[in-house]
Amino acid sequence: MSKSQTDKANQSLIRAVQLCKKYNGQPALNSLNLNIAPGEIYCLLGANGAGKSTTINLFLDFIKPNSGHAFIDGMDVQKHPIETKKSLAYIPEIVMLYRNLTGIENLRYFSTLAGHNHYTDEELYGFLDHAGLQNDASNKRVGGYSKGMRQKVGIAIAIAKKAKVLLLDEPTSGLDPKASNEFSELLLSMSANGVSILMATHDLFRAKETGTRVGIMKHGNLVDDLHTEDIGHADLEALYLKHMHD
Amino acid sequence: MIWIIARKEFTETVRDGRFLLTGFVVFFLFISAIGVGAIRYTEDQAMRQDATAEERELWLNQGKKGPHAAGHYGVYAFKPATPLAFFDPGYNDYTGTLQYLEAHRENQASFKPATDGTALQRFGDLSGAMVLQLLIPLLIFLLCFGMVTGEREDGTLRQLMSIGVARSKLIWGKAAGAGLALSAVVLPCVLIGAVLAAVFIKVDDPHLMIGFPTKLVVITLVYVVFFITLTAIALSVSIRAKSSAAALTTLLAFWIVTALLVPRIASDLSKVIYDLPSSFELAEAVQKGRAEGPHAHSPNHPNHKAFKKKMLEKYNVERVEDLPFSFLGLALEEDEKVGYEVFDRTYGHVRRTFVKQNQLHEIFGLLSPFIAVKTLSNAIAGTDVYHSNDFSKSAEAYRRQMVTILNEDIKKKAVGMSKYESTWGYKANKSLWEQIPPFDYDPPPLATVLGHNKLPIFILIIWLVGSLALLSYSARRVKTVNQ
Repeated sequence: MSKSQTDKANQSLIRAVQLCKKYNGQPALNSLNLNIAPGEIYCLLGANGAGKSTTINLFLDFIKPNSGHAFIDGMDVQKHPIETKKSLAYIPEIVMLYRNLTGIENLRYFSTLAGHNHYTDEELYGFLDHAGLQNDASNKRVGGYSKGMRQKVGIAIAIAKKAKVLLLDEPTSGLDPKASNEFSELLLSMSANGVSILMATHDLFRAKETGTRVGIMKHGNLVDDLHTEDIGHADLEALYLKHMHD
Repeated sequence: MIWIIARKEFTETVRDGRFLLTGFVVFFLFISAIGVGAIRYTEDQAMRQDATAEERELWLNQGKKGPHAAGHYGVYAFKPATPLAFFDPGYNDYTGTLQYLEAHRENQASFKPATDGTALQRFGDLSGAMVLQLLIPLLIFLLCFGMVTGEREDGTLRQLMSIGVARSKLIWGKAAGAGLALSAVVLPCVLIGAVLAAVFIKVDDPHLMIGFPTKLVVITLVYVVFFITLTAIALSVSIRAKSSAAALTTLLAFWIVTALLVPRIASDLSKVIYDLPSSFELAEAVQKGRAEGPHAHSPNHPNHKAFKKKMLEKYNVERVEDLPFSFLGLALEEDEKVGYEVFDRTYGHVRRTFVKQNQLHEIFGLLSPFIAVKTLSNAIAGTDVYHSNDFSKSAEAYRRQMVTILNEDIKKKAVGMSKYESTWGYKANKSLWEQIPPFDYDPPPLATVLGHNKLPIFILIIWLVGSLALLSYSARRVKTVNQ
């Protein structure tokens, strides 16, 4: 590794080193090496079962790797399961919340458990507002929320947490284009504040629009890793399909 | 953090509504059980007091008669119900409420309310203790079965884990939340139950209230430990189960086996292993033993003649009239002494068998915390077999004191009389009846009760420690996703 590469790795908020995961002997993730710097939005593309969710679950320490290491903010997630989570926020395909609690109660619960018990009601409403959720909706029970509203609470949780790292697992699938666009705007503003984002997605258009880098996965391997500025929409799609057909 | 988790669990549970509805049903059952129990206790207590007073009145005013005739007239001893019996009647309905005390014979407690129980009475059988022992555990299981599996199924557990919540803190928070929700049902039950009891029940006998506050504290402690144990078990199952349905099935199976099946098997098995003689066998054994006595009432019986000869030789006289004591008194006394031995042997065996049965039954508590709790609850409420035996022993001791006083009186006062004269001629009056104090039974103090129940106390502690250890072990291994 050259000196500049080492520096870059040290700066990375999200880092994987020879990360491997097998399910029943079948490799789900094969020697993944990844470095995502502050402010980068890294979009993982790939078919279902390519290893995108496995990668995110490994960073969350929800599953244990067979070999290799995952680092968040320089700390091994297996050795520091609680500390690494202090600096990350996770938004899955559907943000799961307590249906009998209101949006604001969910936000308060999650931020308090994350160690931010100092927020006033105004601040919490402010986070939800910033994430695009109206005040009257914030006071309704989550049981009646649409998917888009849930995702907004998820964003608010991430904002309130002052996360340095965002792990997103197909967060916009099923969202209408307007909601999807708002979501992207939020990601861009967070990335402008130095947040590192790893997002698994099927949305090539969003990946090109929002992402700074794109990785294509296939059968557990990262087969391509490129900067979005170096490639056009059409080229990305062609490249993706080429990989899928191989 | 634990407190915040607990509060959130509580809020969710209350908003869910299902728990509150079930809790309300349990509350209603408990309050009606306590109400029915308190009314029944008060009626029984009033009847007992009236009967005791009447019995004493009859004894004192039985008029002039031979002391031995008074011994045959006898008295009834009524078993007082300890105040907590309204809450936990235990075996009271099966162990007999009064004991007839007469000359020659140790009777067993009789008049078991269960004997003439009607179908209607089965409703009255639902006691406050049963609600706490059987229904509250179900409520705990319903409350806890989905606490972890549900969050895993809903995906909120992933969300929580991504926040960086320590698994054990999450679980202890949930346990505390379950405790809060449970208190919301149990505390009103206990408070309103206590008010009902205080309004309905008037205990006039201060002896019955001895140690009552401490007994109340200890019995509360027993139930608190029991509920904590069940909550820990339920949460451990919820952590380990693959799904909420599996958790609920497991817990219901646990309830059926440990609350219904094991106690049933335990009592049947202890009865088979420590077999009790039938009442026919007992009567035969008593009769056989008594036959060796002097047959005080049958002058032509060889034993009677032999005893007479022995006494005449002992005091070196020719006729019974010349003895320094009344011969009738001596013969009756001798007859009772033979009886004491026979009764102690025969009924002592029965009582020891009961104790062995109980001990075996208590050991089964290792398989079911329900057994340990029922045993302790009965014991502290004073409604177990041990209390009933204690009452019987105390009543028998009183009977022996009574016949001794009566026979002593004959021995001294009927000196110089022939047997016929002393039987029919000598009559005592109220001053003798007054020498025999009224029967007053004090239930054993708490220390004695606990001393008899070291085994179930020990077993309950094993369950508490074991279940908390299981929970703390499981808590550290909560799986975020099913793999």
